[in-house]
Amino acid sequence: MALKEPFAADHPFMAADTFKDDVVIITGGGTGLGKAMACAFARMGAGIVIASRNADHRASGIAAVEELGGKAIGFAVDIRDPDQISAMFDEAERLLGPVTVLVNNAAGRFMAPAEDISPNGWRAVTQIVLDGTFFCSKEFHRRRLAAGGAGAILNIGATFAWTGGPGSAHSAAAKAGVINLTQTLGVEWAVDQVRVNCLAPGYFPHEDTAAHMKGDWSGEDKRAGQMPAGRVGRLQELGWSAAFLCSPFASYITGHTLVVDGANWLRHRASSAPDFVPVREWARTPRD
Amino acid sequence: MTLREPPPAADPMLPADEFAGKVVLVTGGGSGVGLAMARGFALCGARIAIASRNEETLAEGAAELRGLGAEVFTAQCDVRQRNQVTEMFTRIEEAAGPVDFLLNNAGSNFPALAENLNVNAWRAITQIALDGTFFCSQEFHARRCRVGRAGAIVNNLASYAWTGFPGDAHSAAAKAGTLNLTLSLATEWARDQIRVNSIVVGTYPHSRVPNNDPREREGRRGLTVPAGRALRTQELGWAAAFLCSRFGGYITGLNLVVDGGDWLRRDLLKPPFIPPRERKDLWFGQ
Repeated sequence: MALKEPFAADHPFMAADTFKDDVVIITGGGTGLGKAMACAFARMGAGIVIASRNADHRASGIAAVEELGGKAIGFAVDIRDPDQISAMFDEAERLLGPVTVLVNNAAGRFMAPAEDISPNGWRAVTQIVLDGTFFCSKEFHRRRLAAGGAGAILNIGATFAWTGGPGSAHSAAAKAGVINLTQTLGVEWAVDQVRVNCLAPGYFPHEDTAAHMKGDWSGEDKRAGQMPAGRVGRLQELGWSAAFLCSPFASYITGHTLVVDGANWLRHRASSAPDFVPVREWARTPRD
Repeated sequence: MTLREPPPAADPMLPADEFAGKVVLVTGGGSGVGLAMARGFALCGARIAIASRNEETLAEGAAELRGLGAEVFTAQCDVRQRNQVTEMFTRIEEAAGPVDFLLNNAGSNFPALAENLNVNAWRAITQIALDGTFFCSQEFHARRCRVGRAGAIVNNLASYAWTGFPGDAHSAAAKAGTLNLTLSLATEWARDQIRVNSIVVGTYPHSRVPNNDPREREGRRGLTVPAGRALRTQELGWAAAFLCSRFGGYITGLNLVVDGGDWLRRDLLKPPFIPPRERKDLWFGQ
C-alpha cells in the first residue's frame, strides 16, 4: 500500500477568505511547484504576483490563477538584481496593495559533477537560489517594517541541504544557505512580526519540469516504488503546507523547515545498496 | 513587538467536520500540552479519548473537552506497562470505536543533576516518554493494520532532544530517542498508511511545568523567546490537527518545531555560564 491519496486540489482547506487581505509574491511562480503554491493561495482569496524572467511562464501562472477566479499580475524580474526586485514591489503595491507574503521559490539547477561546474554555472545557481532569496526577503522586510504590518516569508529548501547532493553541489550548497538564512531571519525579524519559514519538498512531479532535468528522472511509477510512501507527492499537498505556514494559524512557527516528502530523505535500510555509482558516471553531460 | 497573536481559540482552522467519525487518543491528555492538542481535534469533530495515570486529571480534562461539545472517553493507564497499554486500547475502542490518531504526549519531568539521578528516577522518566511512546505506537499500529485503516501518530517533543539540557539528562535523552523513533517508524509504517510525526513544543507555561509560576505566563518566560511571547493553546491544536489531517497526507517522519524561534541561536555572546550544580534554579540557569 502507498500513503493515501489526498483530496482534490479544490477540496476546502482553511476558510476560503483566509488570505483575502493578502498579496503574495511568488518568485518562479509561473511553473511547477511555484504555480501550484500560487493556486493554493489564490483559492483562499490572495492577490498573486507571478515573478519570472520568462513571459510564457508568467502568462501560464496568471492563467492558472485566473481560472480559479483569482487575481494575478506578472512581473519580469531577475532576482539577482535588487533594483529589479524593488521595482517589482512598487508595481505589486500599485496594482494589488501591500505585499504581505513572499514565497522565495525561484531556482535554477542542472546536473553536473562538481569538477565540471564553471564559475558562471556556479554563480547562476547560487545567486538565484541564495542571493535572490536574501534580496527579496530584505526588500519584503523593509516594506513590512515601513508599513507597520506583519508578514510571512516562505523559502523553498531541499533535503539535500543537509545530506549533500552529488551532482548538484551548487544547488545543495545554496539550499543549505537558504535553510540557515531561514533560521537567522526567523530570529532577527520575529520582533517585527515577520515570520520566516522554509518548505523542503520531496518529489512532486509536474508538467513543467525542464527538459534538461528530466533526463535523470525515471517517471512516476519507478520513483514511487523507491519511496517509503509508495507514491510521489501531489501538488496540492505542497500547496496546503505552504498555505498553513504562511497563515495566521502557524503564528508561533518561525525559523522552521517543514519537510513534505513522505519520509523519503530518511535512511531506508541498513546497507546503502544499490551499489554506489560515482557522480561522474551519471551526472556528466555527454560532450561531442 | 511580539509575534502576532493567533486567531481565536474557537477557530477550527480546518473544516469543522474534518475529523467527524474519527477517534483521537491522547496519552497524558488530561492537562497541559496533551489537552491543548486534544482541543484542536475536538473543534474539528473528533471523538476524544484521553489516558492518564491520574483520575482527577482525567476528570478535569474530560470536563473541559466536553465543554467544547466533544464526546470524551477516559482510561487510566500507566504507559510503561505493555499489558496496560493493550487493555487501555481495548477499553477505549469498545467505547469509542477504532482509534484513528494517536498523540503520544504522556511524560513526566523534574529538574535534577545527572549525578543525583537515582535508578528509579531515571527509569521513571525515560520509560514514560520513550518506552510508553513505543508501546502505544506498536499497539496502535497493530490495531490499524487489523482493520486495514490508515492512521497518524504525533509525538510530543522538545528541542532539547538535539541540544541536550543540563539538569534534565533523563528527559532530554528520552526525547532524543523519541525523535529518532519518529523517523524509524515513519519509514517502517508508511506502506501501512500510518504516518508518524512529532511536534516540538516551545515555551508553554502551564500548571504541570515544575517551578512554573502561572503569573509569569505573560512575563519573563515569554520575553526570553525571539517570538516575544509564549505559545498559545490553540497554536498547538492547529499544528497537531494539520499533521493528522488529510491535508498533511504526504508528511511523515517530520519533526515540526512550534517554538517561536526559541531553540535557534540569538546572540554571539551569552550570559555568563553558571555550572549546573552552582545554580539555585537548575533549569532557568540562575
